[in-house]
Amino acid sequence: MNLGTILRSLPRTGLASVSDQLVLGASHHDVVLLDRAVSDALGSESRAVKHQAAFDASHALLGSIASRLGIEGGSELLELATELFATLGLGELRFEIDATGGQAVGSELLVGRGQRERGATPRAAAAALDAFSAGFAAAAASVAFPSDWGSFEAEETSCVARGDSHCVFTLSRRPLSERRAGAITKADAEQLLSPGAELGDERSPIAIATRELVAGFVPNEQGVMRIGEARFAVLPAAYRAQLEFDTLHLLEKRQPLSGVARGATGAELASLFAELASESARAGGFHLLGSLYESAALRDAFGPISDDPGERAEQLSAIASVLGWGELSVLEIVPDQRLVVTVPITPEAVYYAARHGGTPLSRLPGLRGLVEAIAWLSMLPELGREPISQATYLRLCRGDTELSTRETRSVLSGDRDSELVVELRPRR
Amino acid sequence: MIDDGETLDAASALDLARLGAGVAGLEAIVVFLRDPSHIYAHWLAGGGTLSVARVAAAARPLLEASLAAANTLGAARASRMGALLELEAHQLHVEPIGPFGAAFVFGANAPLGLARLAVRRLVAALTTELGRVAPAVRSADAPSPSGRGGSTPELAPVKQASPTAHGERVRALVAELEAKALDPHLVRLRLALRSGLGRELLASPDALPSEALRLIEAVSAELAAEAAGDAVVGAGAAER
Repeated sequence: MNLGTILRSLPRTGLASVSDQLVLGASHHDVVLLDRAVSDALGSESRAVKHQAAFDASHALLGSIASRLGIEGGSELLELATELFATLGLGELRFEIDATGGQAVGSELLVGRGQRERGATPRAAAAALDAFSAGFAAAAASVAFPSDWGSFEAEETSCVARGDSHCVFTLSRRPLSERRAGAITKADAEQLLSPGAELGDERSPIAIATRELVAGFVPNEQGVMRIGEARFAVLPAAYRAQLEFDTLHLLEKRQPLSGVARGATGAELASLFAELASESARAGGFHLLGSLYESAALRDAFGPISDDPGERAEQLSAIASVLGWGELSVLEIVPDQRLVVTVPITPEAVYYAARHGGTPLSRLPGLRGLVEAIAWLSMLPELGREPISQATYLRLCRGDTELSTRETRSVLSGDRDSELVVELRPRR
Repeated sequence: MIDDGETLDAASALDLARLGAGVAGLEAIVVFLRDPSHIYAHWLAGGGTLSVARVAAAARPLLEASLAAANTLGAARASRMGALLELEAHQLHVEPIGPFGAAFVFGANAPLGLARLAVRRLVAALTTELGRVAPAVRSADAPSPSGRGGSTPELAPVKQASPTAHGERVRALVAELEAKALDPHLVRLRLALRSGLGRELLASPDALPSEALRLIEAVSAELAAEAAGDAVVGAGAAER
């Protein structure tokens, strides 16, 4: 089944959905780095936060699809979950379970395999539970076999990274109080749109071509899709958003370390986490957008990549919108100095507004990272001449130029849209 | 039954229908003078059966009580705080706008976060129309490190302490990590976050207390293990 069978665009908003749930195209870089940032922030507490985010988002997605297809549960739901997991590029996940429990067996899982592809040692990769797959498996089991007594929880008991033949998640029921935060739907997005918001033009040739390209993606037998070096998958947008904001809020409540002089405040630690969350989107965006932009399919249609940064920025923004990041518009670009981008709504903003309401604070770390990736790609001399690679990315990160990004408008503060200004300046 | 209640003559200048129409879940807007109490303007969604007088009668004491409570607690922005009442069939949001109060009634099923956001926008619009300084949507108060500035917040000036053994140790650990890490540009950020010490302390390592150094060494070892197999950065620390 190709991705186009289930992936839909919300007209002129740059948002994407599967059923009524908003989704995002992401690379393994993005997912792994965000997962790691949450671990850095919360330590042992991170497991519960990750599992809950994955469970909530997956439960909402599977429940929505099952409802539309008239699937009530049981083995039919588990078959749907297996097929959905693979079609989204998340890997292979098979279920051996009944109403009392069982297991899910996985291979080529996005997070676990992605850790190894980024160069993590077997020990480090093994230490990092694939929380998304665990949460998805638990959610599938819970939707397949609902019970008033409680939901399923997944425990990873075998892992390929440790030398086992497969990743195995043991599924057992827990008398949990279910906290269903996970859905962000098309309806939520429509409510957030400001009356005066300028929506996008879907007739952009590169957007049309990218949409057709992405719709045609078919995972291999192991549920894997690639674009260039990067592994590509579609994830519930609520998963990323819930991870980001639950972690931010937990950090903001934290007291400084006792017994250590001048330990950082919760707000300071939250700021550090927000930077790492932005970094995950920046790294992911750099690889994904760059690889798509360089792909043979788009180059056959549009010829060699332009050297004009403005043209690049507009086209990269159009590609990002196809992946569900919002309808980005380039307001201004000054080569090697500045990029200004606006967007009416993004999945992050929809989630935050629906769950927490408005805020004067910066709450768009993912968008910030993505726009920084566009800034770099737009001004990268090698783009189109050398394949996008991690080495190129790291060279930029440590090079003579650093990025400083300001959120000058935010839809979460009541503005008509969000505006980000990326300045390129000499590294201090 | 719809009870229009009293309105001042000038109320007709306030186009609440334009503001309220299209806001999902919004059933009524009632703008009232706080002192003397008087309904200034109102709008009801089509087909609604709310009583404007009852909405105002509920909103006034709710607003005054919430402002008084906030003042008692010494809240810095007490003059600009509103209140929320969640009922079986409705949500009542009440906000002060200078000498006025504004009550917004949503259906109980309206997502609370989106209702709050809609209220912010409506308050901003009403402020303009009423010609009064609004409760600020953006915080103009003490900036937060999570605020909307650049992605590299300004650090406090680094204390020019003389190099110490602790400082040299930290610099050596960071350099070793940056040489081996999968993402060297993130080493300092991750160290600051995982240790809980923050960026500022790491920027001036010569003033670090001993317990902070032990924390940094422990975290450094964890980060090193991610990329370097079983090699442990700063193995000499275990020998002390």
